Amino acid sequence: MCCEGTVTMRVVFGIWACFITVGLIYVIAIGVLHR
Amino acid sequence: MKKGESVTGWKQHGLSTVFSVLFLLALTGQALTGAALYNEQQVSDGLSEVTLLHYLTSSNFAVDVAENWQSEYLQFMLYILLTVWFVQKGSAESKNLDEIGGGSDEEQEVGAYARPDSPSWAKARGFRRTLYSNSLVAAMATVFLLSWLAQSVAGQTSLNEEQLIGLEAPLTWAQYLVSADFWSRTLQNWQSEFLAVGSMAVFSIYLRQRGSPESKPVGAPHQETGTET
Repeated sequence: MCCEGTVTMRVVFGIWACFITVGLIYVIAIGVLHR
Repeated sequence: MKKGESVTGWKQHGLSTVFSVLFLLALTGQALTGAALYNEQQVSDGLSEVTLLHYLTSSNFAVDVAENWQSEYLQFMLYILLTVWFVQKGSAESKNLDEIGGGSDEEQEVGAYARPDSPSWAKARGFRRTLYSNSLVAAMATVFLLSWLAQSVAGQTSLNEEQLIGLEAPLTWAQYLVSADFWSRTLQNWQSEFLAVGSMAVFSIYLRQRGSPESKPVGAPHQETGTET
């Protein structure tokens, strides 16, 4: 379903999904690695 | 020319562009000022100052980021979910008073009522359609829960560093989950989100912002709810 719409719409969706995913992995990893 | 095609280039994605820039600027500002504050505390505790990189990989930075993320995603998850079943007479943020609930397949344009250009998962049946019908809330809920988890893990480490400096016993994760520090960080964010969202729903009954889709048209009567025409 995310393959539908224009290329730019997919790029924008991808950038925001990356912001969130990278951010979540980062904060969880920091918390876990410091335990 | 189709409706909306008069706007071309990056302006078609202006909202996401502006918010991307604002997000990165604010995060950079938080990193720099957070590091400065952290170092002030280090000096007053008689400890050596740390580098920016050290601060950015500290649990102190992680918990500050995570606690704000979780509350924002909780706010939007609840707003999307609660506006399915709860309405507010006169609010631009509410559906019409007689539209409470998930709507019929015909209204939602799914299954047999899907249009040729509807998303493929809206045309599908069973699990895929159910998942897609709730995908926005599911995404918000996932980010909320993971951010809250990150807040709890990083918050535990951050508090334990302070406990050690004060020569006090560290807390386990389970102890931290019921600690005043965890719930104080959590609830101070939640209360502000609920207040802001509630006031937006109520203020939009009587107040207007010309041109904003979050507002009724300036001349719309106060008793007109949402997109009612």
